[in-house]
Amino acid sequence: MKKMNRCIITLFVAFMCLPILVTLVYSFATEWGKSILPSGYTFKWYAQLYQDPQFIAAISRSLILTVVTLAAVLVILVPSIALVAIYLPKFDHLFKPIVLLPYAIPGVVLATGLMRTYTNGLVPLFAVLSGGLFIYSLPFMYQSVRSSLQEIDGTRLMEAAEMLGASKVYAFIRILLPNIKIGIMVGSLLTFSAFFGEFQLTNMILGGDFETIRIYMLRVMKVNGHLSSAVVMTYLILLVIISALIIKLTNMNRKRSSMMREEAAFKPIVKGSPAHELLNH
Amino acid sequence: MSYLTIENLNLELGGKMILKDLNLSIEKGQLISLLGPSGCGKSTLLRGISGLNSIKSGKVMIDGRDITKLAPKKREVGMVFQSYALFPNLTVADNVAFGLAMKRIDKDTVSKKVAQILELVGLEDKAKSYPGELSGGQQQRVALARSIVVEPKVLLLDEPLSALDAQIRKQLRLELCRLQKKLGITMIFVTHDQEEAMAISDRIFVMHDGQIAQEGTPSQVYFHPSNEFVAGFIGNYNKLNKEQIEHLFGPLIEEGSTYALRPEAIEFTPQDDAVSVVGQIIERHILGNVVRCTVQTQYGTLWVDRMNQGQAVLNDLKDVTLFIRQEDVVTLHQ
Repeated sequence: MKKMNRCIITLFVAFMCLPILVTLVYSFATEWGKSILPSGYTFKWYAQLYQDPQFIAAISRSLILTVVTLAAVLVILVPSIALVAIYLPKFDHLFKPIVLLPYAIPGVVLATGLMRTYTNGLVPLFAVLSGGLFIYSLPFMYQSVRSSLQEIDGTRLMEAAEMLGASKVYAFIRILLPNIKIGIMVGSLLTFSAFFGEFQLTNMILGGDFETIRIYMLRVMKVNGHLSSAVVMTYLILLVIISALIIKLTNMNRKRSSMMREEAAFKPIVKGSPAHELLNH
Repeated sequence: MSYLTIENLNLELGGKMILKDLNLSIEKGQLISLLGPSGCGKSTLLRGISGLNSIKSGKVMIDGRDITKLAPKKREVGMVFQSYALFPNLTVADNVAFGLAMKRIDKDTVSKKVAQILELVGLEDKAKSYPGELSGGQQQRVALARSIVVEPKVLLLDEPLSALDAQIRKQLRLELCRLQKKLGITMIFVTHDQEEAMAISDRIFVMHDGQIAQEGTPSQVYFHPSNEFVAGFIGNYNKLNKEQIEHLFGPLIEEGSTYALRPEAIEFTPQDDAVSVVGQIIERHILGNVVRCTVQTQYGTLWVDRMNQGQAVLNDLKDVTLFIRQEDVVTLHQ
């Protein structure tokens, strides 16, 4: 039974990894069409790709779009979710179906709606696109932040902080945020991947005027398969690096704050005088 | 004038009136318990006093100051939550120092006060630990230290011992009592455990359906329950009706429809001024230091409590004569 399980898991992992492996090999192949293995290996597709200013520009655009939108999500959405969960729980049942709407509304419909409403020139199209992506982040962020809040009993922590004299904003920043950091991080990672690889909305709203990595990838794919494989691999590696960086940064923050606590360590006093001083006071 | 006064307090939650025209007054330095079954409004009353739930009408005064409309942080009221609500990202020392830091007290004084209070609750060696590394009892002490260190005028404790096991619970409630007496803090302790309330309180307020059903010292509440609800909730009173009482003592008893008789007040041996009732023990339950006998009499079933001293005679008894004194019968009001 154990052997069988191991066999199934191995097959499943191989099935999942094979496309990535083939793409990786294809991105290094000089030619791979009529033989089992490529006829030769080369770095020229990567060299060609990294020398292409349009590729660098596409990556930069994707990063700017993702970072700007993610920042807006973190600044606006996270406090809103906490606000509803803690102070307006009776509206939570309205929030739940709303956050699932992005799943229900197809991208085409959302893009068309956004264009019809905002293409009057008053709102920059980049902002319209960023707004559209913001809506797409709702399910990821809501679910991860909400469950983190439930896990730590956020309402009670906020009440305790307020009873001790903290303002709502201070209690949110000093107490709530550090304790829902994992939820925010998970939500951010999911949102980052979704934004970075977004195609439909970007293509429909900005199209060729704002070529992101995915639009660039599609264009290159029609020209050269090897080059597009190199783009895919670069895209994949970039996502892994950024995800690892976010996780690393979060852990570093945690370590740093615990080190700061160590520095500010309070020295326990010897039994005898100070506590008695308090009692005799 | 009392230290804490609540006048005609009405509090509504989700369209339902939880507290109804509630009046209460407490003297400075007292430890009082709000005792009642789940849903009677005792925790809501605490939240009303703390400002975490806004009240519909009425007045809350502490030390002559009307705090009814003040924000929680301006009320000078501390609170220990049932779930402790310790900040998981802060060390024990930082948790305790939080309230002092909010008062913008200088760091040296904060360190000194934190050290003093941690020593007082016996956690001086846990200052650098995180709440997740502590046992339930230790977490409760931290929560208590955190609330006490800011020197609130009134400390509210919302079933603070309910999540602990029986042994630690008993130990902590004595420590709490000791601490309260030493520091002279005015405390309101919410519990549904009558034994706990009896053990630690200067006064007990029994709550029922959003109102105070009876208030008094533990002895007053235990020996003289004023109504059927309190008699049912405090102890295991035998409830007798007017007919049963008249059969026992004649028509000379105080006017009422229901009467209560403590199980330990009934004796197996002859007593002065007592009437005798013949009965049969049909059940025995050992409740630790007490044996509770269920005795079937011609006036109905009565519970009789005797100290459990492992006496064989009690185990062998079947046909018994009970001796009941009229002075032990309490008249209950509706």
